[in-house]
Amino acid sequence: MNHQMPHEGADAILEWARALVSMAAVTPNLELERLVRFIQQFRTQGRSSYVLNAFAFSLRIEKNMSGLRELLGISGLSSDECAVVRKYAVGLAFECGIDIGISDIQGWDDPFSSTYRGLRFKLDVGPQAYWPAWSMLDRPENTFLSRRPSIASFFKMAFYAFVTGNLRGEITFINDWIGQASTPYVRDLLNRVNKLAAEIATAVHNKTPMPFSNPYRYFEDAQRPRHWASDRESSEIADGMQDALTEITFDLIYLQKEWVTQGTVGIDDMQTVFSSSFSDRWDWLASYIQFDSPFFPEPVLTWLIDELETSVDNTIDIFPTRAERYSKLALVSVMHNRGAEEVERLLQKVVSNSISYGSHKDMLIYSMLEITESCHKNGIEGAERWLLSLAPAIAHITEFTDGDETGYLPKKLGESLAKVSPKRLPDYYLWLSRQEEYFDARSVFQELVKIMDFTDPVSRSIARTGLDQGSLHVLRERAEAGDSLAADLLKEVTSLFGAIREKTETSTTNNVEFVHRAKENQPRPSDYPPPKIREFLRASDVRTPYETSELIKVWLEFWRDGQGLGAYDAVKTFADSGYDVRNGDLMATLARRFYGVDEDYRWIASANRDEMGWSQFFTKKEFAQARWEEIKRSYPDRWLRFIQDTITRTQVDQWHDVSAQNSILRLVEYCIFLEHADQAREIAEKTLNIIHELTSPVRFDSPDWLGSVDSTSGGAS
Amino acid sequence: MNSTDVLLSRLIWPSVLVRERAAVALADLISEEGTVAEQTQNAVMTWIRRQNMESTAVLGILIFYRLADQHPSKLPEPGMINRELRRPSLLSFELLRFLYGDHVVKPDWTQCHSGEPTPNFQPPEFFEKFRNNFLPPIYSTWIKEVQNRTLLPMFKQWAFEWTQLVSSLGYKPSAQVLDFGGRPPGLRMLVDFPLSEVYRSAYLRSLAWAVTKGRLPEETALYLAHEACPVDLGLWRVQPGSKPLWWPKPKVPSGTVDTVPAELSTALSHLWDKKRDIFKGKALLAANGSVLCGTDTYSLSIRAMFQAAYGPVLGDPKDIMKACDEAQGEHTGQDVCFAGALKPIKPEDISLVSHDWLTLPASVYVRPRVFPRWQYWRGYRGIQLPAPFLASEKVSFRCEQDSIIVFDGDTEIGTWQDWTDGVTEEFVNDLPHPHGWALCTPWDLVDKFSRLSHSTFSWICEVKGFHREQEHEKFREFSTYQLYGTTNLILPV
Repeated sequence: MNHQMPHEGADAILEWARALVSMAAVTPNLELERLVRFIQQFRTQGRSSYVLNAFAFSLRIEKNMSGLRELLGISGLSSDECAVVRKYAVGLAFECGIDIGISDIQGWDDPFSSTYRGLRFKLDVGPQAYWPAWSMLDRPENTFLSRRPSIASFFKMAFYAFVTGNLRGEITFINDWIGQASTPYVRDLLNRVNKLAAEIATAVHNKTPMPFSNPYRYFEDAQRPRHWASDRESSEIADGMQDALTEITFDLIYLQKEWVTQGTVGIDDMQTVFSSSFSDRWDWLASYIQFDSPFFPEPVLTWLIDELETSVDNTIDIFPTRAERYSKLALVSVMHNRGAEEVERLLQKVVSNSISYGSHKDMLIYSMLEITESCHKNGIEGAERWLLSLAPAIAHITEFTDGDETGYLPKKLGESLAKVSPKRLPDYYLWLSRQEEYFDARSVFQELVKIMDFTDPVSRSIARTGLDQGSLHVLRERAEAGDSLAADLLKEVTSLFGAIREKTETSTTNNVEFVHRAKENQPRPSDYPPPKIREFLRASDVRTPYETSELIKVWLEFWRDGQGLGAYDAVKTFADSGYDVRNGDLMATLARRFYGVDEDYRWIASANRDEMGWSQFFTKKEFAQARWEEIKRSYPDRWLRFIQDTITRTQVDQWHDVSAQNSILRLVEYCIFLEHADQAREIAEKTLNIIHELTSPVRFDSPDWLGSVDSTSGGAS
Repeated sequence: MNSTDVLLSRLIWPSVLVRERAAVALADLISEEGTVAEQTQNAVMTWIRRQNMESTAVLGILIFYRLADQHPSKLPEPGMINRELRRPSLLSFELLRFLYGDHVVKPDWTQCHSGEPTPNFQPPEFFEKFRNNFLPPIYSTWIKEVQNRTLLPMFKQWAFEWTQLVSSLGYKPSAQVLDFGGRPPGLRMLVDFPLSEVYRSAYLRSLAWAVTKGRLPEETALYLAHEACPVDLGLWRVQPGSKPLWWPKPKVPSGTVDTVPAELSTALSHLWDKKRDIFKGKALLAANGSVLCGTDTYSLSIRAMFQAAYGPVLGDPKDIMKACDEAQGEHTGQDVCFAGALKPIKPEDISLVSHDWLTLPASVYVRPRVFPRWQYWRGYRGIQLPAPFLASEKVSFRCEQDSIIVFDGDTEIGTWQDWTDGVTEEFVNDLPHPHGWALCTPWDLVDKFSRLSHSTFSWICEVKGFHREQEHEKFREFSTYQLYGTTNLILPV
């Protein structure tokens, strides 16, 4: 496991470790003591309980009491670590109505165990020895991790302590403890939690049920800051309280089994929960899913799914968020075995909101224009038809989009027409001019100048009127490429107006500056021959993964010729130990050179992921294409796997927040490049259909430059 | 659609420079041999027939003016254009008369306007608000002038004609188009939009209405109609040349010290010292042009003058240059072609006494009747011709292929030539255009006047700099002056 540890700072390592131990909880034949030793490495950061919590939680979700028992039997756990495990062991014992089955439980002094003893065995729980530490509310130093889980744990632990205290009648003690709270806000919240606990103690004595939504009623008049920025401290405390309240509500479902036969959940309960200022319905649902112990009866469940699905249907939000919400509802449906029809409906919505068009749906049109050009260039039929079918929507683009990144589309359509259907370009130009869309018309005119045949005297005459910078630039390019007629036209302009000064584009120098800065501060690679990459990096003062990768690049490039094999092996070993070394393209080259083709796939894939090779907006095509060439040459049978391996940047949570929107063009180009033209056309036509579906609520007038073309058919079969 | 339609559309493209090039290109195509000429001429005729605004129909006629100027034999027969003209106007009549003389039938002016506005007609708010945005303010000035002199409700009529055109043509007036090109602040471009043509045509129709009311003489109306002509037909003929070799070319300063004024000073001294060689036996009477364009822009103005000293105190260069700039000449030409005779000027009308000096500019500004919108750079920097008192007979001038020639009787006494140095559609507000001109005259004329007036021929030069630290700032303007050839000797009379 240490070999896979990322090199991205303490926070990332912690999150990675939590994910890892969560998976370990479902691994058969786990070496538990070894895992605990791994977790205890985080004691030095005071974070072993945090990591252990993830493992114990997974065991509890898996209803693996024997695993929890085994874990509790391991010697050397600290009291904090023990409390974490006991919390889940107790929760599972309540949920499943089973005993924890550990003989020395009488000695456990945490609030969860005390409650367990009191409710399950009607034992006098004895004085509370273990109350939640006030430090759990402190803001942790040197981390960007949220303090929310710690605050939630604090309140939940306090709740259990209050239940036990109220069962024992230790009211004064409780009040004294609450009085130690550092802020009036925390004190107020603890008082509300205590009142809830007192009601539970009474219910236990009277053997009466407690309504499901009762915990929220104690918070009906509780204040919480309207906005994070207005009172950050109280806001974060309230967030933690909210999470604790969710967990307490779930726990109560099972706790009640200890004194009444059955608790009930009604629609009114859920309405109370969802209307509370201490409840976020989607967070709440996420916790319910994570809890993985379905308890909603009918008709509550049907109401819940209808209510939430309708709310997503009718709410404007970014598409990944919408997709995530539908997916939660689908999960709830699955948890309750509600049948394929509902699940399929919800999953369709998940897919259409995530894979189809991402967060900036109108940008699909831009991608489609580029796809059209690419398909046309490669002889795939239908490109002109697709292009023309987009024209009505583009003609009205500012009427249904805010113009952000879409105002360019009329111009882009001109560029595409010039390549796919040049004979239509003059009509499009004239139409734009008649619409007084001069900015776009000027761009389209430049496209005309690019493609006009200057042997035709009328075309030459048209070009003579191109006095804008763009048209002159096109003329200059044609002249420089050897077009003597373009050169003559340019000469005429110069003789009339003098030498035209072309505007020079100022390039951003940020990256260049960074590289220089990095180089200034870096140690000399020559002082660190292979395999001393670790020493080399340690001698530098780089901090971020990007800076590190830049430095590794410098080192690799220095040694690649003289000691390439050693350099490759060193960086590979470094990568295998969990460091994010990037430089996939360079490593792929070295891998091929020293180990042959089978070795380089991992580096090609990692380069494509790291460099966002599928995004048309983040990497140049030439870099992406160099990788495609290698896939085509060495791994043609892995062409689809390459997509699967690289479509998302992260491998930890591979399908989280996935959107193919920015990748569609490259995917089509890749399919064409790998000689899968059918798939390319299929992606193109699906994309086109999605665009037409998205714009289908509006009936666009067909611009008259299209003539008799049926632009409403969409073009895709 | 064929490609000629694209070319014809360039005739009404907003940028005025593009319109000019389109007119020239179309004229050139018609002048060619073969079918392309015929097809183009037919297309232009059809285009003229389709024009439903007076001011755009005129653009078609200008193509034939250009054709007649460059290839007179290719001009179609009189009446051919007239037959196609659906929207005749005072200006189209003037242009056709210029082309065909008395062969042109005068339009019925009563058919060239919309009649009286309805009694309850109120000028639309849009019309009032944007009339000086879609057209230069001079149009409003002329309408006001006519209104004051004729007591006719000219503004109301203009608005009425505008409303009628907007309605019949189906326009939805919008000022959004004024942002054409998404130009950054500070950049300007001379543009005419379809709505500009509506304003302009309504102006021509209002003048025709005033003529039919019998309150505005036809000749005055024709004169005022010239304003709507986008180009001076005389200046259109004059092809700008390239920057003369003698024109100072300072280096762009590389450090923090501005070295341009010093470089210019050296160059001007050299010019003065070698003036009889450099200008090929002629005297430089005036020159004006940019010497450096960029972050720092410099413009140089050289003005020749006759100077005499009457005491020890030197004249003030700033005042002297100002007097030179204010020296205006008038010409007799009244039409859309810059040509005619200079009206006599008494030297004392433009001379200046500055302290113990008397100075007399050797040249005067002369304005064409029409602002040459299609050659806007010429309109901004102006044109100078020799002061009439240098000649012995009537001074006349005319435009030729590459210069304006000035005559003293039949003798050539002056040549005005200009050059462009990177003129573009867009230009920076407040900065001089990358353009220049020079006016030369024979030395004997200068020597003779100098001798007769007991004055010395000299130059005053102004270097005008424009600088700003940041792009959002306005340019700071500064001037330095140099005198060459002036004397403090009190010459005997």
